Amino acid sequence: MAMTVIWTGMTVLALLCALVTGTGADLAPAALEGAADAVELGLSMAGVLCLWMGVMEVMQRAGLAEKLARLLHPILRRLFPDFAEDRAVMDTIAANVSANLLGLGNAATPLGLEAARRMSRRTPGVAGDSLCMLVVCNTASIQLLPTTVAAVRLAAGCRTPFDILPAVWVTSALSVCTGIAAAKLCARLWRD
Amino acid sequence: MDPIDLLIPGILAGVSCYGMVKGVDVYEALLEGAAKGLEILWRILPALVTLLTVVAMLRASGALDLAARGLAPLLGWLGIPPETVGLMLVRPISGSAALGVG
Repeated sequence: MAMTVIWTGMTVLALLCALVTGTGADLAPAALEGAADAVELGLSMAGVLCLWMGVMEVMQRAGLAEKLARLLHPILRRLFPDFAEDRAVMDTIAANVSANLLGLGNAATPLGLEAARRMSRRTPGVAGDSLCMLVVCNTASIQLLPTTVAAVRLAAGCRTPFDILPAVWVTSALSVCTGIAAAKLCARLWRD
Repeated sequence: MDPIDLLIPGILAGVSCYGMVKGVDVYEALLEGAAKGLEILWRILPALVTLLTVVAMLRASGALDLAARGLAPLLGWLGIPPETVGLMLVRPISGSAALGVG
């Protein structure tokens, strides 16, 4: 329902704003163009998305994903102390984080949902601290390979879509640290 | 040539070699993963269409410009380019739609 309110609110806001600023005539073509652009963007991203999903599949089958999960375990255990002993939850979170590290946020979403579903079984109806942490880590994730962003840059005509790597490493590390610090702080302020 | 230019081809070749050594049918796995990528695209496309439509409307109506102008002092102080206002508004709602706004 939240999305219904947001979508409806945005259309009404656009309409009202157009009436006030006198741009009413531009609204209809903009709407049609926006819809068409979405498909164009989706298609231009498809190649990179497919390629990296393929690489991830190879990593999974070769056991590289598992190695990465073991590498991440000490960090993840500290971030999600409530579920440190729950093998299934930790594995799903590790897969989710790996996909995010590869810049495949859209591929990470179903894994994140799966982890969230398993976590919420323990506290039905309430989002516990660990669940909040999972959401934060998915929203502001460290990206080792910003493949999706590279796909967008490529679609926009950039010839060296990966030259932003160092900047992405620094900014995404900062954003995830800020997010984790905020989540930990809030968890301390509002004890449940 | 920057060494970083070799990162992507290096990962492609490295992961493939590692997989082959481990006895994985690498090509088969690549194809299957790519098919999953298409599935993901299929799933996020509806959200992409609806949200990009409404954001295009907001942009055409001048609402985004107004928001950018209203936030300009704050954004200028933080060093954030005003063109990113649309992205800042959409990203919290949908990461997929944010792809098309930036």
